Amino acid sequence: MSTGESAISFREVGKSYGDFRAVEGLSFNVAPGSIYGFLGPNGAGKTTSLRMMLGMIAPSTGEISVLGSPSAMGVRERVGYLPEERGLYRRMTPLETIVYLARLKGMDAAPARKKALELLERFGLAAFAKSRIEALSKGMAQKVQILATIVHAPDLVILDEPFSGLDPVNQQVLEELVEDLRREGRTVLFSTHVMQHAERLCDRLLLIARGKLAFEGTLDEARDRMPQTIKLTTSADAADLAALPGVVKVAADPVHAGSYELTMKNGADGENLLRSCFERGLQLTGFDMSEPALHDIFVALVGEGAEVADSRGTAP
Amino acid sequence: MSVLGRIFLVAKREYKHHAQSKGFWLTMVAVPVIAALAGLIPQWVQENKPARAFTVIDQSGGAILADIDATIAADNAKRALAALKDYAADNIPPESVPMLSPMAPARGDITADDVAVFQAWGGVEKAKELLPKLVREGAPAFNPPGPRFVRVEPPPEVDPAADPAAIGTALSPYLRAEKPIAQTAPAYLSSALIVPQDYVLTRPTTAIQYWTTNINDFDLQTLVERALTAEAQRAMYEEQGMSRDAVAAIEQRRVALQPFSPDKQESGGEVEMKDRLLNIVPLGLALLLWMSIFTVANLLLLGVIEERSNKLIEVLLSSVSAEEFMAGKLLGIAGIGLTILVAWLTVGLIIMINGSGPTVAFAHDAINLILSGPYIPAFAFYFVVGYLTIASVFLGLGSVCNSQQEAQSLLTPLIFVLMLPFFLLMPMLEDPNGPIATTAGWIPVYTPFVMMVRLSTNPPWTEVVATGAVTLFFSILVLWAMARLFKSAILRTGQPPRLIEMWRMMRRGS
Repeated sequence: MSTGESAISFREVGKSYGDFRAVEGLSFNVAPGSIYGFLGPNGAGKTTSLRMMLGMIAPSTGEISVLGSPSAMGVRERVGYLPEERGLYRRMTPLETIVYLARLKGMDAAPARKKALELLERFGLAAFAKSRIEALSKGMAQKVQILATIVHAPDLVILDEPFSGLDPVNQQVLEELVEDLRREGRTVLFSTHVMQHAERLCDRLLLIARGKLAFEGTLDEARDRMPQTIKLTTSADAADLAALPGVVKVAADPVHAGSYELTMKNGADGENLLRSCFERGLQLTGFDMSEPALHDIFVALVGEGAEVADSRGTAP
Repeated sequence: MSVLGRIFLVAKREYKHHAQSKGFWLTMVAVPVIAALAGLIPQWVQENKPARAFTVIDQSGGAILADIDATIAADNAKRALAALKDYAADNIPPESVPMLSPMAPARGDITADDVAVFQAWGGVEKAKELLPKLVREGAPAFNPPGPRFVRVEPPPEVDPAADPAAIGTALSPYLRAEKPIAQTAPAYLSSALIVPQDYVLTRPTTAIQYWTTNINDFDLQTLVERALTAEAQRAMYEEQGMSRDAVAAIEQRRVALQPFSPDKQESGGEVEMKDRLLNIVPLGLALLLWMSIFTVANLLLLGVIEERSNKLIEVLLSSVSAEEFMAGKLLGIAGIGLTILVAWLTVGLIIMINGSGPTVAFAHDAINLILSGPYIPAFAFYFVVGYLTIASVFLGLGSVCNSQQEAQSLLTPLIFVLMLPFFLLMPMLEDPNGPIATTAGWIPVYTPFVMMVRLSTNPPWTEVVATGAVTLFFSILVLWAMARLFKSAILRTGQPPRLIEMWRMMRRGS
C-alpha cells in the first residue's frame, strides 16, 4: 500500500527525549476503512506514537501522514481521539461536554447538540444528559468520553486503550461500536495490551516493543511467524518424543506428569507427528494442535519481560 | 474552524465555567463588602464603645479631680459637637445653618476653643432645643453620642486616705470585674486614678497612679495626661506672671503652612483636602489592578492543574493546539478578571454613594478624576501587560505541576517577589517621583502597579511611554517563553521539572 492511499502512514519515525529513545524507526501504513490494532506492553512507545500521530508532540525523525496531511492538526476535524487516561470537566454536564468537544472539532452548535442528544439516547445516558459529570458513575463518564470522540463523525478514530476500565457489558458495547464505525467506512486505530479485543476486531496488527516495531501484518501472518506447538499427554518419555520427526523441542509440564509441549520445525505437519506416534506404539491420552492465541504470539514476538495482560477472565 | 474560532470557544468555556462557580460570585461581592467593612468596623467600634467607669481618689486636695471632671465634660462636648456638625451638614438646609451660630456648623477639625464656645453657647441641650425648627422635613432626630468615660465614686470600703498601694489592693476585685461598682451600666470599674497626698501639678515628686487591668486601652490615660499637662503648663505660665487669658490666647495660636502645587496653578495652586484624598484614587486603582490580576491568575493555575491531573488535556490537545488552548484560557480568564473589576468598582461606588456625607462627595470627585485623567486608558494598558505577564507565568507553572502542593512550592518565592510593590506603596505615595518609585517603575513586573500610582503626580511622559514599552516587550517575552514551556510540559508526567529543565523546555519549545 502506498502512502498516498493510507489513512495513517509512518516512515522511519522516531522520538527521543535526551538520550532516551521512546520510539525508533517506526514504519507502517493503516488502510482506510480498516481496524488497526496497535499493540505493545506498557512503556513500549504506544502512547508516544499516538501523540505524534495526533500532532501533540513532534517526531524527532521521520515522516508522518494522517488522512493525507503531514500533521493530524491539519485534519483535526476529521479525527476523533480517546486517550488512555481520561478526564472530563467535573462541573460540566455530559451534554455540554460532548457539544463543547464537537464544537472544537468544527461542528456548529445546533447540529452538535442534536447529535449529542442522539448519542446519549442511543447509549442509555439520556436521563443523565444534564447531570454534572461528577454525579455520574465511572462507567457512565467513560461512555461520555467515547461519545465525545465520535460525535463529529470522524473519518479516523484513534482509541488509546479504549477497553481499559470498562465492565464486560460495556466492553461488548464498545466492540460493537468499533465494528459499526468500520461498517460506516471509518478507519479505527486502537491500542491495547488486551489481546482478545485485538484478535476479534483487527484487520491488521502492529506490535511495538521497547520503541521498535516487532511485527506488522494480519493475525494469520502473525501466526505464520510462530512455530507450531502441540500438546501431548502420553506415557512415553521425553527422549521418545524428541526423536519424533519435525520436533525441535520438548518441554515437560512441571505440574501434570506425562504432559508435554512439543515445538515443531516450521512447515512440520501435525498429522505426520500423530501418525509417527501410532507407528512407534506411543500411547497418547491427549493431543492438542490448536492455533496459537494472539497472546502467545505477542509474548513470543515481544519477548521476555513484556507485560501482557492475559485477558482471560477480564474480557467478554 | 479558524484559529480565532477555537480560541474563542476555549475562552467562552473558561468564562462560563468560572462565572457559574460560587467562588466567582463570592469574590465579586465579598471583596468590596469586606473592604467597606474594614473601613467602617473600626469607626463603628470606636463610636459604639460602651462607656467605661473610672474612679478618682484625689488625696492632694481635690484640684486634680476638678481638672479631670472638666476634661471629661469637654470630651463629651467635643464628641457631641462633632456629631452635631455631621448631623447639621446632612439635615439642615444651608440657609438655616447660620442659626446654629456661634458654633461652626461645617465638618472639620474641632479645637479646644470650639468646644469651649460650644459649651458656653449652651451645648447639646441648646442644640436639641433649636434643631427641630431648622432641620429638613423627615430628618431623623439628633442623638448625641453617649460619654466615653463616666466617673464614679470609689467603693465605700476603700479608705481614701490610705496608702496608694493599699487603695489599689482594695480596688482590685472591682478592677478585675469580680464586683460591680454600680447597679446600672457601666457596672464594672475599668480604671482608677490615685493622686498622692503630696502631689503638686506643676512640680510633682511622685506620679499619679493609673490602675487598670486593660493595660492596652490608652484612651482615658491619654486624655487625662494631655489635659493635666496643659493645665500644669498654664499654671506654670501663671507662676511666671502671665494671666490665664493671655496663656489661653497663646495656646490658640496656630501657625499653618498652606500647601500649593504647580499641578493646580490653573485654580491658583492651592492644595485642598480634596486634592489629597484624590491622590489615593490611583493608589486604589493600583491595588485593584494587583488584586484582580492575582485573583484570576490563580484561577488559571488551578484550572490547568485540574486539566493536567485528570488527563483532560490530551483530549483538548487533539482538537486545539497548545498555543490556541493557552490563548483561549488567557482570554477567558481575562474576561473573568474584567468582570470582577467592573463588579468591584460598581459595588464600591454604590457603597460610597449610599454612604454618609463626605464619602458621597469623595465618590463623585473620584469618578470625575478617573473620567477626566489618563487613568482609564492607563488602567486598561497596565491590566493587559500585568495580566499577560503574571497570568502566563501562573499558566506556565501550572503546566508542569500535578497538584496544588507542587505549584505552591514553585510559586511561593515568586509571590514574595511579586508582592514587593505592596511594601513600596507608602514610600512611593510619599515621594512618587523619588528614587524608589522611579527605579521600581522600570522593573517590568512592577511597572503596571508603580506607574499607576505615579500617574497622579504627572511623571515625565517620556518615562511613562518608555516604561510602558519595556513592560509591553517584557510581557510578550514572558508570554512567548511560557507558551513554549506550556507546550513542552503540558503532556509530561511525573515530578515537576527542575528549573534548569524548565529553562531547556523553554529553549526547545516542544
